[in-house]
Amino acid sequence: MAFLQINGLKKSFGSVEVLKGIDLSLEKGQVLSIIGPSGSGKTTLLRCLNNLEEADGGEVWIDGQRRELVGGKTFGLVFQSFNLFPQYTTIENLTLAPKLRAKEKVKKQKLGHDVLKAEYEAINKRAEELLATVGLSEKRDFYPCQLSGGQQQRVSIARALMMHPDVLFFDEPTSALDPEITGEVLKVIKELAALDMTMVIITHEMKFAHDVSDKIVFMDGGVIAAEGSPDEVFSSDNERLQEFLSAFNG
Amino acid sequence: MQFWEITLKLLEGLQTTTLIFILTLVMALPLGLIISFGSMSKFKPLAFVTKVFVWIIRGVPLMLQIFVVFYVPGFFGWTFLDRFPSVIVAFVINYACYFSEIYRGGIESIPKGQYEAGQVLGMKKSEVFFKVILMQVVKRILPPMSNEVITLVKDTALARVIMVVELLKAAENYAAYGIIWPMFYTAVFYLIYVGILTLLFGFFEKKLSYYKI
Ligand SMILES: Nc1ncnc2c1ncn2[C@@H]1O[C@H](COP(=O)(O)OP(=O)(O)O)[C@@H](O)[C@H]1O
Ligand SMILES: [Mg+2]
Repeated sequence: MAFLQINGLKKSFGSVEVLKGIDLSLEKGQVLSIIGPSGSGKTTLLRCLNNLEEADGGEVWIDGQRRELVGGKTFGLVFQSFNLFPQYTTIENLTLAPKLRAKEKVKKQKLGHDVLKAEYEAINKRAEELLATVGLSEKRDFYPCQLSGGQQQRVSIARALMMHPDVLFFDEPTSALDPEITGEVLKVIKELAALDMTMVIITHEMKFAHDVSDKIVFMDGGVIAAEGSPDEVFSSDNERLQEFLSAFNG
Repeated sequence: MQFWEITLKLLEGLQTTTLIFILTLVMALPLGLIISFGSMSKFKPLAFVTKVFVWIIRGVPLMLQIFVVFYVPGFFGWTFLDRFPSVIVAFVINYACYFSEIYRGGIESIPKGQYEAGQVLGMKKSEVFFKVILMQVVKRILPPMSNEVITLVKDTALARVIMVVELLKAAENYAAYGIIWPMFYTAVFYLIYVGILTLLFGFFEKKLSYYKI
C-alpha cells in the first residue's frame, strides 16, 4: 500500500454527487498535482481529506493506518485565500496552534512550567526556521494586512508546516494572487518538493504542475479521468483532457 | 443659590440615570450574547422563537415595554415589581435584543475560512472561537455597539414615564413651580455623558486599529 492511499471516496451535496468514487495513491516524498475544470470536485476532495467535509464513503490510509484512527499523522491544508488570523503577527500566526497543543500536553501530563517554557522555545525556534525557509524572516512581527498576497500565502504555508504534516495539501495556492507574484509562492513549493515534502496540489499553473509533480491526475465530473506522470498526462489522447489543456495553451 | 441647589438635585437624578445605564449594560451585554446564540441555533424551532421574540421587542416602543412590565402583572393579580426594578427589567430585555442582533451580525460576518484554518491546524472549536474569532467580532461590533450605548444614555429618560426620578424627571419636577430652564440644562449633562462615552469608544477603536479584518 502507498504512503497515502485513498479508496473509493464519495461525496454528495443533497442529490448532487460531486465525488463519484475517487481512488488515489501517493508515495512518501512525492508530489501529486490535481488539475481539472472548475466544478469537477477538486476542492471537495481536499476538504473531505482534511475533515472540513464529511465524506459519504471511502477510505483514507496514511502510512498504513486509517486516517480516522491515526493520532500522530497529520494533514496540512493551504487555502486559496490564505486565511491568516488578522489580529496576530506573522510569528504569532505560526505559533498559536502549536502552543495551544503544547499547553494542553503539559497540563494533561501534569508537567512543570519549565517544560512548557522549553516547549514554547522549541516552537518559536521552529517558527523562525520556517519563516527563513519561506524567505520572510524580516516580516516576523508584521500583521497580515501589512503583507502582500504572495507573502501572506508564504506565511500560511509556513503556518501549515508548523504542525509537521505528513502530507501538505494546497487548494489553488496562487489563484488569488496577481500573476507577477505567483512565482514567489511556486518557488517555495518547489523548494519543499526538493526537501521531499509529500504534497497534493490543486493548480491551474500547468508548467509548474509539469515541473514539480511526480504524478498528475485530471479530475472531471467527480471522477479521475486521467492520471500518470506529467509527460504521460500532458500527451494523453483523452479528449476532455486535451480540450482542458488547450484552453491553457491558447 | 438656586442654580447650585438645582444642579445638586439634577446630579441626584443623574445618579439614577447612571444606575439604569450601568445595570442595563452589565446584564444586557451577556444576555444579548446568549440570545444571539439562540437566534443562530441550528435547532430551528429555537432559532425561530428567538427571532420572533427579538422582532417583538425591537418592534414595540421601549416606553410601552416599561408600562407592560410595571402594570401588566397587576392585571393578573400578581405582585407588582417596584418602579425601579420594572425599568431595569424592561431596559435589560430591550437592550439585550438589540445587542443580540449586533453580536449575530458580527459573528456571522467572520469568514468561514477563519474557522476552517483553525480547524485544520488542530485547534478545538472553543479555541478557535476564543483565540481567533472573538477579537475579530469585538472589532467589528465596536462601532454599532457605541451607537447603541449612546442611545441607551438618552433612553434612560424614559424611566420617568413610571415616575422614576432620573435626570430629566428631576428637572421636570421644577416645571410644576414654573421653573422651566432646568429641563434645558439637562442637555449639558447628557452631552458630557455622551462625550465621555464617545471618547472611550474612540480609544478602544484606536486600540484595535493595529490590524485590519
Ligand atoms: N457546500 C456545498 N454545498 C453544495 N454544493 C457544493 C458545496 N461545495 C461544492 N459544491 C458543488 O460541488 C461541485 C464541485 O465543487 P468544487 O469541489 O469546489 O470543484 P472545483 O474545486 O473542482 O472547482 C460544484 O458543482 C459545487 O457547486
Ligand atoms: Mg476549487
